[in-house]
Amino acid sequence: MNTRFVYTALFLSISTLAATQVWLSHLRIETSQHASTLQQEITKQHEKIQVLGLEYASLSRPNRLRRLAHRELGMQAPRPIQVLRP
Amino acid sequence: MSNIHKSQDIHTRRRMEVVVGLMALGLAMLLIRAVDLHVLQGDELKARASHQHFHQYNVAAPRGVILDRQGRILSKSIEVPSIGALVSEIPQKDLKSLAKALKMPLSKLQGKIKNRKGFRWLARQVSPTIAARVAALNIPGVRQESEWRRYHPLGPETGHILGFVGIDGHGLEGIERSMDQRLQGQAGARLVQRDARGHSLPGGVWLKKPHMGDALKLTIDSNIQSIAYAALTEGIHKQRAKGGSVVVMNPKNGDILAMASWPSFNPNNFIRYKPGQWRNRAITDIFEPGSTMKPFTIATAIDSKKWQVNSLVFCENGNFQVADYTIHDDHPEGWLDLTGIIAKSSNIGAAKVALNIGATQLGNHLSSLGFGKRTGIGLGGESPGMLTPPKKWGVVETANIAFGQGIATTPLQLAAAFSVLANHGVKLTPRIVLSDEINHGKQVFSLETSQAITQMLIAATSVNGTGQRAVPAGYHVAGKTGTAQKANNQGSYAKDKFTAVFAGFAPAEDPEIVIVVVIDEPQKSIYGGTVAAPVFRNIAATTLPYLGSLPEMQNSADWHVQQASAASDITPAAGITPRLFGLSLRQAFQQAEQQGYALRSHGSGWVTRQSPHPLTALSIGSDIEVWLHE
Repeated sequence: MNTRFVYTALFLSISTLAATQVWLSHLRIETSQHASTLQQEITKQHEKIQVLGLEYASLSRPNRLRRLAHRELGMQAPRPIQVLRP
Repeated sequence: MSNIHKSQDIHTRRRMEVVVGLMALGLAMLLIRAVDLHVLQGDELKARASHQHFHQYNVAAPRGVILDRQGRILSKSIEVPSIGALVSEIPQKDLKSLAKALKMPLSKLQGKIKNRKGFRWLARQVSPTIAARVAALNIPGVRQESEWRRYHPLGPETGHILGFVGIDGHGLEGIERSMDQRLQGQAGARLVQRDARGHSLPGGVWLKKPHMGDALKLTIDSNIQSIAYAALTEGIHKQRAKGGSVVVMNPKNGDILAMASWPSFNPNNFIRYKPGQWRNRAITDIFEPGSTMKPFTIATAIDSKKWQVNSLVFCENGNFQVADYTIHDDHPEGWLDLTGIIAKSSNIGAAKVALNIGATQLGNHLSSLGFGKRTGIGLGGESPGMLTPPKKWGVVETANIAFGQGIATTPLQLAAAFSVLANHGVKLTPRIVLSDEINHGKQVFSLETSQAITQMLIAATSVNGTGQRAVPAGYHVAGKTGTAQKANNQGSYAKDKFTAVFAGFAPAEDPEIVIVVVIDEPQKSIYGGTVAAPVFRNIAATTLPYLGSLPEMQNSADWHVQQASAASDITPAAGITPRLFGLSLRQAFQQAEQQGYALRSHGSGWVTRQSPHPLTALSIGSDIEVWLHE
């Protein structure tokens, strides 16, 4: 009776451990895939930051700002008569 | 009977022995093969298996970013898609749709893959739209890879300085080339697992991570660069000139703040331009500096202690014979002091001074100023200019070099030489890469000499000087005009081809910038004072306030006139451009007519821009151009 109980317990323990191991293995694969997806997303966002940085540099180039200030706002570069040290 | 049984037993035993023997042989062979596979070929086979299961590939690293002195991006690499294919796998029926997606003629695509095997690039560094269109077709064998592409957000404005990068990621011109080693990244290696079909599985490990190239901070200020480029472009268009260049330099530390050349090119699309347009004229093109050389002749004379500022020279009333050669002055002069020689730009005066001090002393000083040698700025393609050794000079050569003939310089060399005068006689090496290292200089002229020459150069830009158009209101400028005939292919001077130059520094009292403007073959006028000096003024007028050096009232002789004109409708004196800002077209016409000027207008509304600027000198009958805006 005692021996049967021991074998049953041993069988159940091994089964549980095996099932847990399978579950953990799946979990590991899922987590790994999730981490990989996040890594790809980070890379993508980094690339986006690079492109946006370049776009910002292009949009704020002095020549363009000068042209826009003149065309859209009618602004001129200040003449010496406007800015002076008294 | 028993004999028959006996022979059958023997026969059976023999057969069993043969079978056992064969089995033993088979087992022995299997054993040998197992030993062969596991022990003798084990390592090689393991490597082959590993090669089939894993794939290692190189990952290119981006080049380092190039920044201006304020940290603005001048050049940067970003990842872009490229389309490649395993040629043998592309179905012929898909070629037409693939060519359409790639925006490529079918014949060109067919040419790329004709008689080819294995991998082949179809289109490199394409736009994301094209890449998406190709991906949507899902054609077997066609695949997308990532490559780094270099972008220069300021385009043509910085094209000549930065140069460009080839499709393989190596710099081909400009800073991109000369600093290629520093900017180049270190490629990485990545290991990924492959499935049974050989496709890469997600994930993988870095065997070596790629490292981006070093960032490079330049001394260039993109605002000043833009100002210089715009002023040069305007000056060249006004004069219908062939080309030109501008160098803006800080004389106190040798930093190059701007370097612009025309014709320009867009480095983002350099292949569409002729190679001649890629040339950075500020360092590659040499020209005879003409009268801009005179300050150095006079400085050498004063430094020799043989001459004083108030020493007088007889300028032979415009004609002076040296050996079999006659030197002329455009404006015949009699007696002039050294300031007069600079202000009136007398060739004869400069020649006489040079002949007195001698070729050796003048030649040594010019060499110390950097003429005839590369500046060491570190840009590829820099010309050393042309300065023959003084021992080879005769009297004619000595006299000619004194006023800038028979010597050739680059705009950068001239800027570095004028920086010596602006920096108390100390020569600094021009630099374009920002560095914390102190730029140690070399004393070429004494402090007293450089101060004396500065006063002479201020006189040269005064109302009576040749460079008066270089002075923005509210500043003193120390500068010199130059007009030089260009040499032709026959070894003589071309009669109708000139180089107009203005070189100087401002504010003269405490110089913030040295500017050299060179205009090649101007068509409307040939003189440095009318062609290059206004470009200098436009750059100085905008750059100096930007650098924190504001104009001062006492620096402007006609300040009260300007103030009155700005505040009220008092008409300026004859020969002075009236202020037309804010007037309607009719009012502008009336005022211009009253003053004796013709008016050319653009647009409608009110005057928002005019050229020449108000209160600058303008001869009666000239045109005033106005731009109106609603």
